[in-house]
Amino acid sequence: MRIFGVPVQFAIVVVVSAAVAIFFAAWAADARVEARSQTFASTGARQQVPSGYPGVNVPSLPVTLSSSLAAGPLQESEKELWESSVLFLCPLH
Amino acid sequence: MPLDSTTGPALSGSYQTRTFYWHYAWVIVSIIAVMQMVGASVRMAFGVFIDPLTATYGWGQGTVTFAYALASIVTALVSPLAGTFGDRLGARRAMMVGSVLFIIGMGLTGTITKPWQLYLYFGVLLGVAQAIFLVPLIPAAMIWFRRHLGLGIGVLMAAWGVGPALAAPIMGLLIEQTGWKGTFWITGAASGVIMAILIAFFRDRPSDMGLLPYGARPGDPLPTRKSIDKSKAQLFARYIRETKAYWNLSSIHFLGCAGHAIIIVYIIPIAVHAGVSLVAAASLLTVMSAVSVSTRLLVPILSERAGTKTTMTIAYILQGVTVIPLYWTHDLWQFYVFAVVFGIGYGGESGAFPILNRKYYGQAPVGVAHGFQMLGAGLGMAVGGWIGGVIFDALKSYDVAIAISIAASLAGAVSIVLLEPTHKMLIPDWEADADADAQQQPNAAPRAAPSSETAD
Repeated sequence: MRIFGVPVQFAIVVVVSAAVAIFFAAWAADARVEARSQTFASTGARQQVPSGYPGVNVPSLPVTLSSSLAAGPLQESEKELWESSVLFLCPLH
Repeated sequence: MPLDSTTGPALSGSYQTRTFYWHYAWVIVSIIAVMQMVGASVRMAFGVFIDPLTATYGWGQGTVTFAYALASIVTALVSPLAGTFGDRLGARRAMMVGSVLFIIGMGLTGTITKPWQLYLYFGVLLGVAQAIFLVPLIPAAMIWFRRHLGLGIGVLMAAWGVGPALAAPIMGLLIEQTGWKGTFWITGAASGVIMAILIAFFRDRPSDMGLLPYGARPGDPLPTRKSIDKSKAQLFARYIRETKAYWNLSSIHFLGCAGHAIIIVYIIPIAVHAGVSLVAAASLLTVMSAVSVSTRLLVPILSERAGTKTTMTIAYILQGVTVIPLYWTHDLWQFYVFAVVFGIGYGGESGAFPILNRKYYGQAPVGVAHGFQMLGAGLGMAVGGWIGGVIFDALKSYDVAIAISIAASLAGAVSIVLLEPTHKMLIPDWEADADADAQQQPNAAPRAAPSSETAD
């Protein structure tokens, strides 16, 4: 039996392997994006403490992060190309 | 007993009933073994270049190792074309082209200053070069053996296992003495000289030297020409794609390689996570490679004598089942036991493919099939090597990656069981079919395979 000209056995291996690879890659991408968002949130919250407030240490942030926080409300961290791709391909993430 | 061919020279050499005797086929096997080691040495020892490159340019490890991944994927993708190239032009010409590309690639890699140059010269150029001169070698060896192919392939596979053990220390020594640039240049130049000498002694087929193939016996079909003409090789390439085995052997090689790539790449971090020192963990790979040499040698011989599918199935099951105890492995001695038993199955994973090709396709030009199988193997290594890290990123554990390794190997074993029986060739009269098709209808499909005994 063949599907699209290739044997079913071969097609199953290709489809299952691709599905497994996409699922775990999307899982990893999801975890990375979430971790970055949490980092943004925690550092952002600390940044919003008024400077000079007694007893509170405001960490210095990297220039880009400081700029983005200073520019407006907390934004979701940007996804890398591979992260966007696998999250788009995976229906479960 | 001399035999005449219709267009080639008179074939000489006596028929032998012994398994092992002197024949130029062993020179060919030796040439191919050294070509494999020389040609693949820089890839096998790539790890020794990582620190020098990062120290020189301040690149991240990911930037450097991407070149290795790229070379692996390029080699895998080019493999089917390289197999066809070898079938149509002969392995000797393929080796010449591949060697020239290899020398240019090594020379240019020694001049890099930017990551894109590393990717282009090492990843793309050397990736293509390796496919062109490595893929046609196994089909070339097959042509020299009418019988006892398992012995010849076993020697080649064992040599393939020895390569990494030799390449890394030699490259490391060269880097210490001359730096990484000098290592690329010296290795490229030395490899070029070695390859030129080997190619001078290499012959595509026994009839090029007026010889019978190794193990030829009275009653065997006589070779009628020096080489298979290109149009017939082209027709055979189309016929072979109609067989299920052409596709399934590639997916089986993919599963087998994905199964062991996960272990090979991640056994060191797994052991380190369990509390083993880095030096001791690194020695696990050496143990695996050393043990695998024995089964690399034995599996092709056993698969020829005891049944190819049975031997392959056992090797795949061993590769999969021996990974299960890794979940409960914590002490160093347990890791060593694991390395030994896993090495047995891992070494036997790939050795039977040329034997299966012979059983299914006889003396036909199987470079196209071998190339497609190498595509599966290369992608399996790439996916297996990558997915373990991805899973660790997501779950902070290797448990699921280990499960995938086990599942891949066992799925490969099931796929082998489902392959066609090996006692009949799949396209036995392909040359006659090709003659008929060439006369009647150039694009005709091959005739259904009638029964025919396989070459033994």
